[in-house]
Amino acid sequence: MDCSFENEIHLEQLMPLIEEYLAQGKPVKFSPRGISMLPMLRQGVDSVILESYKGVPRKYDIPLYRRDDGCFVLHRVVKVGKTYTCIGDNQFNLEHGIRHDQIIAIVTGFYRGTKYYSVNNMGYLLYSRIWHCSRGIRHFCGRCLAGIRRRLR
Amino acid sequence: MKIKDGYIVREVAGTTVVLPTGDDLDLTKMIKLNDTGKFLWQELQQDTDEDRLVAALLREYSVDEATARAGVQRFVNKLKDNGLLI
Repeated sequence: MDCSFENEIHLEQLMPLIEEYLAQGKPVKFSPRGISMLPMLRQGVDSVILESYKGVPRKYDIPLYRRDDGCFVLHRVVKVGKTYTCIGDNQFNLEHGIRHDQIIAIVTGFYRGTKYYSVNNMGYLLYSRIWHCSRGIRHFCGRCLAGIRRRLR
Repeated sequence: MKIKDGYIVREVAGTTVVLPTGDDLDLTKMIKLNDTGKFLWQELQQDTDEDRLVAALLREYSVDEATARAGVQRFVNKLKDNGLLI
């Protein structure tokens, strides 16, 4: 007999509840899955505070959006135009064409372990800008290291 | 033993979940229950013990006592591990 409970619940299942709270102006805390927002967000360790999205996301904001294939994504805005260009902090390929209507909520703060950081925290603001600006050099260094490893095998 | 105060049970898209009460929605503390988990959760709203939980399961489900007891023990241990019991 399986009298169980689970702590792992898919975001898709919870979306009606999340949208209910966001519509009431209440914040939602959840732990993102995956590695695309490393080093800022570690799966199973860190969590984010989402709030209902008002206005236009700015560069470096982190929205939760739903792709047209139904996937939920939490990535950073790096370009604002008629649509948004987003990318995970641990990624090198930009995702273009995120529309306004796909954005569900926006990160207003996050927990690194137990320590809370607002997105207005000076250290975080510095991190988000330096990390994004160094994407090209990080990508180049990563490819060089991968090439060296291949030659050494 | 009983469930601590401060939790509510909700049905979300056909799934039973337990949420901490409060002004925000903390999904890091959310729990999904299956049918028997939901049944035991309801039983644990009042002060009870393992024997009474097993008896309740035997009344509600077609199952032998050993299986019911093992299920109750697993469930109660998970609740204890998550700090949900007083």
